[in-house]
Amino acid sequence: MERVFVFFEIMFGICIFIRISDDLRMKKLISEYMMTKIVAIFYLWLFVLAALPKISTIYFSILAWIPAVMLYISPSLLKYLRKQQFRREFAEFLNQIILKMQTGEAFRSSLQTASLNLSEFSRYKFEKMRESLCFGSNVAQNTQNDPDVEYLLQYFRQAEADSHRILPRLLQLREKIKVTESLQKKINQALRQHRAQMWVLTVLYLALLFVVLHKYGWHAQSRLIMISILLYILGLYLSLRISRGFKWKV
Amino acid sequence: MEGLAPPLHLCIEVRMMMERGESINSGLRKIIPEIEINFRQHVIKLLFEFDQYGKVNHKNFASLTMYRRELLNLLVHGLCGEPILPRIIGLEHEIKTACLDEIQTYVNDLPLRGLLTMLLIQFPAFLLLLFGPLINELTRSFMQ
Repeated sequence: MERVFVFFEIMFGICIFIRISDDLRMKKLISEYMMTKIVAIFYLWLFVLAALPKISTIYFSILAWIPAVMLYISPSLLKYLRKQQFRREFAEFLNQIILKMQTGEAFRSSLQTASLNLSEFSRYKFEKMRESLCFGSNVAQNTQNDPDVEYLLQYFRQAEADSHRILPRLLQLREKIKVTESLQKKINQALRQHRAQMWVLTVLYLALLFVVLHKYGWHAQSRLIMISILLYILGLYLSLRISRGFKWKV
Repeated sequence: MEGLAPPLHLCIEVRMMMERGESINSGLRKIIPEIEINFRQHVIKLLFEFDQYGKVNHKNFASLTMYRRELLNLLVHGLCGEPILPRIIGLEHEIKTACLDEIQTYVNDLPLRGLLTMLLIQFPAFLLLLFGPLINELTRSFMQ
């Protein structure tokens, strides 16, 4: 019976894995070649797991599903990290443009010079923005509807239309970004400690769960373990809500 | 450019717009899509009433917080043609202070809220996992 379960789990896992990687390929996050590679590595991983002697079904399930979950969350994680990086670099980028313009350079040439110091991904975004500014093309196709990029593009377009006041407009933008960042920083500082506490607790809980499963097994204490896991997930959900629940009341 | 309180965001945008020399009426229409959705409806209502009747019913703002109410009142004055830039700058400063106070209150409350969740839900989950199997084993051995 267990073997049948494992067989169906492997088949189902492969289907899900191929579907996730195909979805990533469709979104142009990975190439077709990369997709083949990833799926092949997953096959190999399952083969190694199946070949392991004396591995229980529960461990097999956990280990088999880890790569699928990681693959599923990796694009959102990457997107979030790149967005953060873009925001971090933009303040410095704006400073450089303002500096160049203060020393007499034109807006577009300062844009180009300043973009040379950016990381590869941010430079790609700015190149697309610059292209859009020069040729009026639609930047949304290339930046996957990033609201930050759209806002900046709109701002730069308006600034260019009012060509003799570009510098004051850029100074205004810098001031606005500074205010936003300082408030955001204060909120994040408060939340960082809470989040760290939450994740440390989760790691401890997982370690304890692993020890209990190893010592007593799943079948003997299944009801207790299930209640405990559900309680913990509820607690984690509430903690996440607290840490994400900051809403302005002003 | 998310992360700013809606009235502070509107206040900064209006100030920037006025410093650029734009009129409040045309400038407000441009920035409407950027305003937070709940606050946006009040701004749209304000513009609509001003366009239709040339005046605004201040009772419409009664449900808003005092900062939002003051900002909208100030915008009405601006729409009527009064010079409001110095008052907008003053209000912006006040709203910034209020935002910092709100963050501080949130920071003060956060440990208590986190602790409550931890003590009431996550801690019992730990205890259940730690002592549950032990007590089960113990009860079983007594029964035998």
